[in-house]
Amino acid sequence: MHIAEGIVSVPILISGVALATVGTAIGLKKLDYNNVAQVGILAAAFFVAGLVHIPIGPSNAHFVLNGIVGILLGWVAFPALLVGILLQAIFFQFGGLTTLGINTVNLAIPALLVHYLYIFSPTSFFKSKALIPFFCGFLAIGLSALGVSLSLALTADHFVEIAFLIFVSHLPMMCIEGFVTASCIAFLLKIEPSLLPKRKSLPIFKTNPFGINLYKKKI
Amino acid sequence: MTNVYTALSVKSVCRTLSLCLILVIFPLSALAHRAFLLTWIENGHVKVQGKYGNQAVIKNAKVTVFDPEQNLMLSGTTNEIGIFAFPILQQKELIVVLSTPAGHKAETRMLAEDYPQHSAPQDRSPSPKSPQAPLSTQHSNESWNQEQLQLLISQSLEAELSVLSHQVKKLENKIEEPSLQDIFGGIGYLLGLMGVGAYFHYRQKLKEISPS
Repeated sequence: MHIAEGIVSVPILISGVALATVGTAIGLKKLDYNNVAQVGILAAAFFVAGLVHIPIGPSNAHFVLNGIVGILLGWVAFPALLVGILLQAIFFQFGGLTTLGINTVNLAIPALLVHYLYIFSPTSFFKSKALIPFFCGFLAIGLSALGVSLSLALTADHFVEIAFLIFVSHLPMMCIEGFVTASCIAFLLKIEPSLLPKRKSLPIFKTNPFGINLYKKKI
Repeated sequence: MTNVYTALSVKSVCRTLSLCLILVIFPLSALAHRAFLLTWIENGHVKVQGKYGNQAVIKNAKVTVFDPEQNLMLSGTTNEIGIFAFPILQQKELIVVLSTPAGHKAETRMLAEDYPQHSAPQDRSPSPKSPQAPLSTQHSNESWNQEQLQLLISQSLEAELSVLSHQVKKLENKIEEPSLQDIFGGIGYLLGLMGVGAYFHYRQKLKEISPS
């Protein structure tokens, strides 16, 4: 998932740095210093998770946990993942210092997207509370793999082959990470629901255009 | 006066910490995710093998070989067991680069002293099956001259030493794998950064509420 140095072209690196800077600035602005311990611990979990390799299928993929980080932190995932990726580059030589921006963007943007997916997902439409978090964890890795393949494809020319190869190689990890995200979020829902973001309803569903009330509380 | 210090829920911090400690202890069996390159000489060929940190081989990865002036010498792809082989070139000092479609890259430098003394490039016919092939076909009834004897000895030694040099390269790469000290060092840095950020933030708040 981490792009090494000297692989992608300079415009991609510069774009990555720019996007990561903007995202980190917004994240730091939205950071609540009362919850800074949570941010630090999640960044540490991400830092360590990159070392855990799952030898399943043809891939050599590893845990990322950007789904959990994204659901819990939202925009603050940008600075958390940036620091995690920086320390992984320094201590473990995963990725590089020049690719810090693009690696942050490839992980943090999917984290942000699954954060909003979790917030705006229908609360009682599905019986299982773990289904949406599973889908969030699954999608976070899938979108990150897509981001990596897009970064490589904009440097080389064969996008579809690269995207297919990276996606297929990460498919087992997407499923595993979905389970891990679902179990973590279900655990937090039971013991400390205040750690999770408050869910909101999309305006379109409030008007109930199709006659289906997705946010009706169960009796 | 409103208190700017909203108390952190100690219980919630402890619970989150205990959850994350599971992930900290997990990497006792953790494996790195970085590409390594092993090079060794065998039977007049330079063999290059790509591996991940967990010793899984890298198949179908692109290998490019440059001279020290960054001129491309040759390129190819690794086979099913992660190996790419090419005959020993006139240029002994080489830079070998391996890159995978997933964005991993590994580079290594070969020096003149990495080559066995009698492995002259393109000077000898590749005979991977048996070092005794020249023996049986040409010299069965003649006395040996010194050069042929040296070639025979170097071929035999090469076959034995290729395994040894392979193990040494693996050992060199093993030293670069993340250790437990690196893991805890990184976590320490993270928590330290968190503490520094919180310190400067609340120092600012303190100045606002108590200017004296």
